[in-house]
Amino acid sequence: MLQILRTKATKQQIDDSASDLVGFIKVVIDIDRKILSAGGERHVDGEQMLLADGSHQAFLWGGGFDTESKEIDYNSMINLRLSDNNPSREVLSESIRKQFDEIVKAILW
Amino acid sequence: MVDTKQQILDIAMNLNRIGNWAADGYESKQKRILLFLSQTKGYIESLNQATIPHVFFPTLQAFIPIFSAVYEEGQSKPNEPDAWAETCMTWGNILTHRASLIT
Repeated sequence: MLQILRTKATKQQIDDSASDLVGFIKVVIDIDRKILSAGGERHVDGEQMLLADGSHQAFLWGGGFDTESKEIDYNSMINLRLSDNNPSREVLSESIRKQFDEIVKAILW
Repeated sequence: MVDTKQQILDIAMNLNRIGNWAADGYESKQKRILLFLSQTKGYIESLNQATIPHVFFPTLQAFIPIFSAVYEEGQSKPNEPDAWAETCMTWGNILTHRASLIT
């Protein structure tokens, strides 16, 4: 289930978001508003949900959180943005990765 | 256990490669995609299910039908190439994460 999470998630919210991909949660982080979309099978859906909620594209970055291994990845089709100096599907900026980690850990950990 | 883990990582790496190639343009990379799909299928078939660690077994059970569908759809240009590519990369990531649970 795809949902926007703005504060620390409940176990039910995490379970709901993890149900789409056997415990793996696709996340799109808004590093400005410090919120995220969690769940679904495609990052573009989470991105669209956040944009409709008032987020700006330049602050949105996609990746994943595995609830079983507790690992975070920064890989998403939506990350490939030359206009934001990211010519890769991986988030290249260490600063953005750090912010990504902080938001995931605050909301989903 | 180490061999199984390496096999799973090989599958994951292939999926990420296939997904990235497809996202860059399925038609221009089709030959390579088909080769790596076939190789990945071989890797999966060679996994000895009797030695799959308990911690990884549910992930594998969920993955096998997903890969069957990915394999079949990938034999020609998928109807939605970006969605197909994303599925490959997503499962590449899932398998990589879950492999870390295998000691």
